Amino acid sequence: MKRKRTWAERKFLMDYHFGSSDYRRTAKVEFQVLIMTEESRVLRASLDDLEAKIERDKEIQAVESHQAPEPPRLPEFLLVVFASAEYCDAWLGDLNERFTRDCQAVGLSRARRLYWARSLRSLWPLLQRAIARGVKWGAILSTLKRLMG
Amino acid sequence: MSIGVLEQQVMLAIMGLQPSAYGVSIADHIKQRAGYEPSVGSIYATLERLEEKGFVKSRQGEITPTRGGKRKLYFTVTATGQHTLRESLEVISSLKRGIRWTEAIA
Repeated sequence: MKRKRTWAERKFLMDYHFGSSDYRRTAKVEFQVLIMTEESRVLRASLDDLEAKIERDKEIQAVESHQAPEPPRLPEFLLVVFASAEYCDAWLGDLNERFTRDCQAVGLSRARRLYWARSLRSLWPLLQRAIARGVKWGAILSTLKRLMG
Repeated sequence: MSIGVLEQQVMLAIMGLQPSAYGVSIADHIKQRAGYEPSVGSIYATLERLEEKGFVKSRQGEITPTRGGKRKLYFTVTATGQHTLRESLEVISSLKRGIRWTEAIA
């Protein structure tokens, strides 16, 4: 992009074109110094801007690394409903550990999908256990009823 | 008392990982050795069954930030469990004896 000339540059250009030959030589040197000063000012501004952006990126990265990503809540709720109380915490902890590992390896959205898949795969064995417990208690209750009366 | 294939694999994984066998490490161990990854659900359903039978026992572990503040549950195989597992593996070994694989496949 073409740089806009400052008033001082324009004055030197006028003097250069319309002044004496000695003055033109002096004006040329002064003009070169001005260009260098102006360029270094523009470059310094760009450098400052870049450094500010780098600092901002560092701050964002620091905040993101401290905030652990949250796994989806619905599959967690389903597992809590069907899991036995004794193992529920350990089970969810294991799923969370896998989720954190996946977030680092494949990114947040893929990790969320994998969390869903793992939770749904875990539901069937949970249901089987719940049914087995229900059937066992049903058998015990019916036996007791038969014995009682 | 007989035990199933997944029960055998879980118990062997627990013994191989002593003393740090918990859900994720058991699943990873089975994936490494057996080539398939059992779901966390099936691992815990198996562990629950084994604990009911008295073949494994659990103890609470530490909380880590990656687990969302949930405790690990470490498992160990009891003496009864080890005895049953050895018997079960011996049954498989004795059944394997005398089999001529190429003829059996053909």
